[in-house]
Amino acid sequence: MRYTRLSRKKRSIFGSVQLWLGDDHLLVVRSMRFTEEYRRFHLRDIQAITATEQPQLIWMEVALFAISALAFLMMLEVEAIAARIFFGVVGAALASTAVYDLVRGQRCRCRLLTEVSSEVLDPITRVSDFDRLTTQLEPAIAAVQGVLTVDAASMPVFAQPAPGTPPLRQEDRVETPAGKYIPLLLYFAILANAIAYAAGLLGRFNEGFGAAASFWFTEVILCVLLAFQPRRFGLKGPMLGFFYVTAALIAIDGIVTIALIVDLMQRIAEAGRSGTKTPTIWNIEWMMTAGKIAIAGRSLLGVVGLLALWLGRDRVVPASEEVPPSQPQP
Amino acid sequence: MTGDLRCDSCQGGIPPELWNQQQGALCPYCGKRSWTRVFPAIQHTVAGQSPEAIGSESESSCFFHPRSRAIVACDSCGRFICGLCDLDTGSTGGHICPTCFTSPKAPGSGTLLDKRRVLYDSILLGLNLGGFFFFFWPSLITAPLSIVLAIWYWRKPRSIVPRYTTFRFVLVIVLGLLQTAIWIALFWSVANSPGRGSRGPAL
Repeated sequence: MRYTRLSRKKRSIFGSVQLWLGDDHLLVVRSMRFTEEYRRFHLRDIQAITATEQPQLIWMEVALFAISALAFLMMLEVEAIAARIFFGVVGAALASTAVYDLVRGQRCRCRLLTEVSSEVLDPITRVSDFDRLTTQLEPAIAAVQGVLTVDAASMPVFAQPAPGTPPLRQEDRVETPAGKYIPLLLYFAILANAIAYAAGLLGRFNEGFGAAASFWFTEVILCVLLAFQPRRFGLKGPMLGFFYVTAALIAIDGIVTIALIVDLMQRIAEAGRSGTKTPTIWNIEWMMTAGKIAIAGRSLLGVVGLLALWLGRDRVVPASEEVPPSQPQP
Repeated sequence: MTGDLRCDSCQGGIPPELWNQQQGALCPYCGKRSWTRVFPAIQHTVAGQSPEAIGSESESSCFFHPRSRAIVACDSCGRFICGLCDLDTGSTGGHICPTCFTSPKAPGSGTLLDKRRVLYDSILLGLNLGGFFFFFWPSLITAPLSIVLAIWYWRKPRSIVPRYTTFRFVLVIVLGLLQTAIWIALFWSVANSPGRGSRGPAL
């Protein structure tokens, strides 16, 4: 019998779980490294597959971003090449892990129902995995069972609400897009960047520039993430337009910073050749002016962004999505 | 359980109006979004078949229930079985009697009905690499042992899903040969070292 892979492996220390599609059944393969156990669900018996959203592990993503920013900061601060490579690799690995986790999208728990059983499908942990699973599985089940025509009256038993659970009112229900805190992180990073830059430029505190560079990398990662799937992270309408302006300003800031570094390097090289005093960023007029503009612009951008996010923080479900409360059917 | 779809978060019932929505739907009780794909099997109640009594002496009876009429022969052992004993496993194993279904080594019941398989390739790869990287010297024993076992288990039942089993067996044999070659070279170099046999300058 030929099996088609339906999901990636969900790995753990002791093994993995994976879903496969056979000619007439779904196979759950649970591997314990040196043995495999199989559970078969015939397509004719599958009544339903459900997925329910699960909370995002925000603390984990924030921690990963924070540690990666710290690693990038260390990379800029240390002198030894080996240490720079180490911190760079660690920072990149942590940041990419966090980005990958976010890109995979909303977490969910998937369940397969038959007449006599209810099985949690462990490998399906994201809504995107669930979509891929059903895309492959639905035609196979439809070929065996046909297509369902929902007729509530024909249901022999209808689901009852959980005891003591009143239906929600419309105004109680709110959309909670996955990763909604990402725009918030972006504008916090912009504000933090402004503070770090001010510490370097106005306070003549060298480490401030290193911290600012770290925050800039964080901003770029977050912007790329938001630009790919803005709706997933709750950006729409005017807020989306404002995000594009923010992204453009961050890109311009990067270009100006590169120009600044190149100009500074040229001046230092020229000073070395002519034997004059080595110039610093604080001695160059245009750099100071550009820096002050950047600090003011970032502060304004961060505050406005946070304010806009706060004003549009929750969206009540529109009437079109309103659902009647569940009532026991006759 | 028919028609009983519940939210996995609050266990509240999901009404049919919310089934098969492409974008999912919010649970009316806890407000969490859930996606449900419901199939026609939810409208059916599958009941076990009752065996029919034998009408005349000429009719075949079930091996397990002599008073019941046989409806099919077991695809594994050939015994006649009634509607109660018939376990229809589809294309996996066909019609199987309860004895063959529970027997781990039923001839022809189809290895496809197996509930568990041992992954000899993984065990041997672990043995080979473990012996080599765990202070090296155990590979003196594990390297040739893994070669012998890889050949021994080559034809044993493998995983029923696609897997690089052959590649792993070949890898075990190649690594085992390499490690054995290293040990032979070590012994040879020790045996032929220039200092061996000389017990100081001859007087």
